[in-house]
Amino acid sequence: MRSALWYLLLVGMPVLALMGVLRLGQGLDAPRAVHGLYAVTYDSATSGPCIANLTSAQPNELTVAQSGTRLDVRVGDLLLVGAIAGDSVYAAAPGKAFRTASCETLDSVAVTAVVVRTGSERALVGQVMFRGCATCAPARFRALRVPERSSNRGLDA
Amino acid sequence: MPSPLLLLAQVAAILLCARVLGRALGLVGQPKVIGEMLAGILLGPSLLGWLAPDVSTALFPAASLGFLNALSQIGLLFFMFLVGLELDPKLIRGREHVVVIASHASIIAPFLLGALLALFLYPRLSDDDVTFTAFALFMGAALSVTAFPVLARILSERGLTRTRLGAIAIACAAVDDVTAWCILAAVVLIARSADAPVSLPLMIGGSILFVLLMLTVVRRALARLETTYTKWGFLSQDRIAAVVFMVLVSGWITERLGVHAVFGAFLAGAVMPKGESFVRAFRDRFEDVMVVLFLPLFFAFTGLRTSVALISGDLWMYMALVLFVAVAGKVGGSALAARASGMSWRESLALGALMNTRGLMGFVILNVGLDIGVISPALFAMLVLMALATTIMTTPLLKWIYPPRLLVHSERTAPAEMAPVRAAQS
Repeated sequence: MRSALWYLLLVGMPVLALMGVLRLGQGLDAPRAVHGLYAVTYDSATSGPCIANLTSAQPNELTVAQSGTRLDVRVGDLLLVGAIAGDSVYAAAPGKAFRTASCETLDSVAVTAVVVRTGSERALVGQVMFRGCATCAPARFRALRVPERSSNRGLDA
Repeated sequence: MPSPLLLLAQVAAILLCARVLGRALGLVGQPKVIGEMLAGILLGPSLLGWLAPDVSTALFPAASLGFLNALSQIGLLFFMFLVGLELDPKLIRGREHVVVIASHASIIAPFLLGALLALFLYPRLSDDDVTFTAFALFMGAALSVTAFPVLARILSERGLTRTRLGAIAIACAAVDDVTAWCILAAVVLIARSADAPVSLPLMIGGSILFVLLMLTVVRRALARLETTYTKWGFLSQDRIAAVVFMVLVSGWITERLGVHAVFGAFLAGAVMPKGESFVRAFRDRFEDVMVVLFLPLFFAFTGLRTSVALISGDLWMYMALVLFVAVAGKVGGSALAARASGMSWRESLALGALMNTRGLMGFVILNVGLDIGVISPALFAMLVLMALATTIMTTPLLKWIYPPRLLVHSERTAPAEMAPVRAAQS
């Protein structure tokens, strides 16, 4: 009898409390999910050689690793760190390593985008900006998330 | 496919690092497995990738990790088979009263605190692809697991295996393991229900049917295997191959049902006959290659996915909170329940300290969580550090609560047949 009471107190009550917590949490909102692999198409009218100079790897793919609002956006070997607020995405990286003869004054590379949802499809629509570089105009892009069965949240490994 | 030379270099580097760190940690009184776990993290972006990014990229290029992952997953399947194999209902016989209360309380207390913590972490570290229910249940499962094999090793090294405390701790850990895997299976079902290869009713119905099939038909067939072993005194390669085949098929079925392959492998081990010499025969054939080769690969793969750099600023406060909640829930819940069952305060706290060992079972659960996308990379890194920290603190905490001088006075009531369960990292 005493054991049963202890069991109710130490196990039964917490189980009830757990159910309450699960119910309470239903009202919580988490940041918009944008992690995953994206296929990128650039607007031909705005994208020039600056995009191609950014990375030695394929610039038409980008990977977003997400931890809450924090985002790590990888385009080839270029890693931009940023955040998501509502539907707006912002990420940037220092431009020093990507300075070329045609753009010696590049300060930073930044991506701004908005999340667009159409049914189960998710896309990022925005632009890549080359700050401190007058010769590189912002390049507009649209990135469509590649569906994946088992999410690895954009991690390489 | 990566170059065979690269793969050989990767495996060699991982094994060397694991053995050296395992030995080093052994010298300061920690189980070797902690050194091996640490080696995995140090080879990843948290240390090697930070100190020598060129070396890290050359040795572990992203494109090559799929093969390493495949090897570590196969190793993990057979490790989970061994964990299931070691589980023996005899462990709880005669002490059901204390074991049931202590083990259930040691699960529900950290589970509840983990779910409460999820109220705070979900808006900060998750995203809207994950439901709160899946996130909270996963946090609960990650915080409530106990590493049965590491615990057995610590008990054995401290000479506690045949004490009342050791016997109860190992029995509680066994019950914890089974319960945690059942909970995790439910979490995976919930998290994967949206994009699983089969529908949710089929996932649940199929899983129940499969478990029943394993517990009845397969178990009976395996009993014949033990009879043959007892008759002839050895295991032929054909019989070992049959068991390997069963582990792989069982893993395949649970993966296909949308649960996870590790559950199938664990179940395959759990339904094996539990005769001592039969279990030992299987364990002896599998254990060395698992411990020396495959587990370090799994730890390394976990380490390669762990980026401590993702924990910055406020996230270190969250990390401290996760650690505090994990320790308070597990030590507090187990100790209170043990005390309520009539154990002394010292024994109760020692049991709590032992149950707080999350070790490699924690790593297994966390990898499942990351695979199914229920936790984010930053939270994964925090939970990996939490699992490592709670495992490292077990031995010193136990020595402090239960000094060796008191061991000679401890009550030795464990049944004679309860041989020390060999740890994965022996």
